Amino acid sequence: MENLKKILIFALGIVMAFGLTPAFAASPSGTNGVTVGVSPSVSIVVSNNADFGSLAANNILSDAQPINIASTSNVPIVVNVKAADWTSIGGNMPLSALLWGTTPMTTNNAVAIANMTAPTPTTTSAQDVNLKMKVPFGSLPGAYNTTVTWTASDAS
Amino acid sequence: MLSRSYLKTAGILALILISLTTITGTNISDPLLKNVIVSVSKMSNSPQDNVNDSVSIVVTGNATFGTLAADNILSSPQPINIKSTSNVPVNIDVKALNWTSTNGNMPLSSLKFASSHRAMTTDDQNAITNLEPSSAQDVNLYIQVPFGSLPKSYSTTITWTASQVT
Repeated sequence: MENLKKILIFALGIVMAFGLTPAFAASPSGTNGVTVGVSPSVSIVVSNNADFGSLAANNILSDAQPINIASTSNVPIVVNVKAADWTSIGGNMPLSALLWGTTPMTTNNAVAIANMTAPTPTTTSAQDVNLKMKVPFGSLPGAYNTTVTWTASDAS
Repeated sequence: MLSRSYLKTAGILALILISLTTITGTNISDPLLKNVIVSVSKMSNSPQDNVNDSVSIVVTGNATFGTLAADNILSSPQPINIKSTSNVPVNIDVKALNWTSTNGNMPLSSLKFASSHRAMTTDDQNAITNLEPSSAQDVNLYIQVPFGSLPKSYSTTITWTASQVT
């Protein structure tokens, strides 16, 4: 106990004599944490419109018009396709005159791409689907328009 | 005959007395003590000589972004407060470790900082220039999750380092 007192007295003396102050923890650097969760996401980007120009009603398959489907998902996806019935004035061409690949289009979803991989932050994932026309005999002359809808869903 | 420990204690008390005398300005005639007093007085008359440049900061705040979509859209900012406890102006650099996740693929560059939304790297980059002593500044952090970033939990540690402005 006596020694402890002496040590304390000595330390106090040193402090007073030389103006020393206790050193508190101080650092030229500091840190902080960052956390984030990434949710599963399903999304696609559809590029291009198909314009077939004027075709004859000859039941012959037209040239292909590619539609580009790019996945911006982070999970594998299935891509379905459907279309609205033709809009025309007095026209009679069935929607089935429009084909994706070799499959006639309908107003109900059909699988166009079965398993599309997800892109990565450094790579893309995209695929073309060809649209074609096969104008049946007897289709009335006129302008026909429709809208094709591509819908992605999680394939995982 | 004085014991050895008594002499030691007496010496210590003398040292304290010398110090107190210096502070109170009391004169001491002993030549040996005078030398000591002169030395101490010189230090007390030039207090600036005893204050070294110090560089230190306090970092406050952790950035929790919750759950974000991999949509390549910039998140809301998360401010991190950097307070200088230095006695000189400092520059602040920032760097981060690569994301820790289980089989994740999100690059560290998805983490941005400052109003210019600079991409974070594992190397130091300047975040604050000329931060005055005892002042503080917020630096905003952002996340821009790239398309295709796998749905995982990601975490990292950011290090802020101060250096004296030269």
